[in-house]
Amino acid sequence: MMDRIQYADPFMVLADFSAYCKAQQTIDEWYRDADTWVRKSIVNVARIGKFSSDRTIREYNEDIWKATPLHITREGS
Amino acid sequence: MQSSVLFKSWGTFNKGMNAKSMLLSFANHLEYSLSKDQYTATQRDMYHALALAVRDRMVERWIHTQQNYYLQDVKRVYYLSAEYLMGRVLVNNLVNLGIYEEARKAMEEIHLDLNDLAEQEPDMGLGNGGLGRLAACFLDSLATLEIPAYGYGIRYEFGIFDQAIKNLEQFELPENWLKFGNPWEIPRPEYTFNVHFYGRVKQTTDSEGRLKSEWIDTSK
Repeated sequence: MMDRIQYADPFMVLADFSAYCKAQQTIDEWYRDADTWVRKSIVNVARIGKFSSDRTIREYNEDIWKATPLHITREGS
Repeated sequence: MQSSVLFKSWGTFNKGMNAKSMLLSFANHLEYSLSKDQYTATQRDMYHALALAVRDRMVERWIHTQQNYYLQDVKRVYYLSAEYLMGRVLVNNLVNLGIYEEARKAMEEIHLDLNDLAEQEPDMGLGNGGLGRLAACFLDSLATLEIPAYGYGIRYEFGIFDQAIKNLEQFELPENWLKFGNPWEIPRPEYTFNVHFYGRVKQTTDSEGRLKSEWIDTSK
């Protein structure tokens, strides 16, 4: 397995390995500073909100499908 | 409608959302759908009986929803994907129906662990990764946003492979997810369509100005 990665590496697994190591070192430095780490964690999570599939579907429906949502109640009909 | 009276009285016995009703429904399916008793039923049978009990409650709501769509003649969205990664659905369905705790209690009463039963369900791995998982998330979101919608997919006989490692190399084994039957599906063999290969699409405009697409010159 090591031979394939070292000498062939058809999927370029190691192409960005040194850049990856460098980034991990920077992360280690941030982690030592608890305040910075907590701030970055919260900001990261907060910014994920945009990637909700609810938003994607809402926008598809508003821009393209234009279907009217229908609230179904247990009673009725 | 007279038959609705029948459905209502059956409903209170068969489709209640409490532990007692779930247990009755479970026992009913174990005996009459699976023809098993407490001596012959395996953990898988127990899972199947519970899945069918849960399905009954979903079927009732599904029909009610379809009737509402029909009566109010709403526009529907059809989502087509060659892949769906739905994962295992028993616990998901229980949580969405709001009866996870009641089902857990029902199983506890007959000394069964709901999580053990959930482990019996094979993974519906009908996809490769991100695309299939996104399709499944989209269906969840369509439901959350109450948009009248359907997902159409392909019922692959084998899911994405079961992984085995031999001599440091990966071996892909077929994932025979339908081997023991699938309690969540309802076959409709009366609805079949021939799909031809090749051909081309001819687009025309009808008398009311609507675009019509016709698939012609296909192989027979």
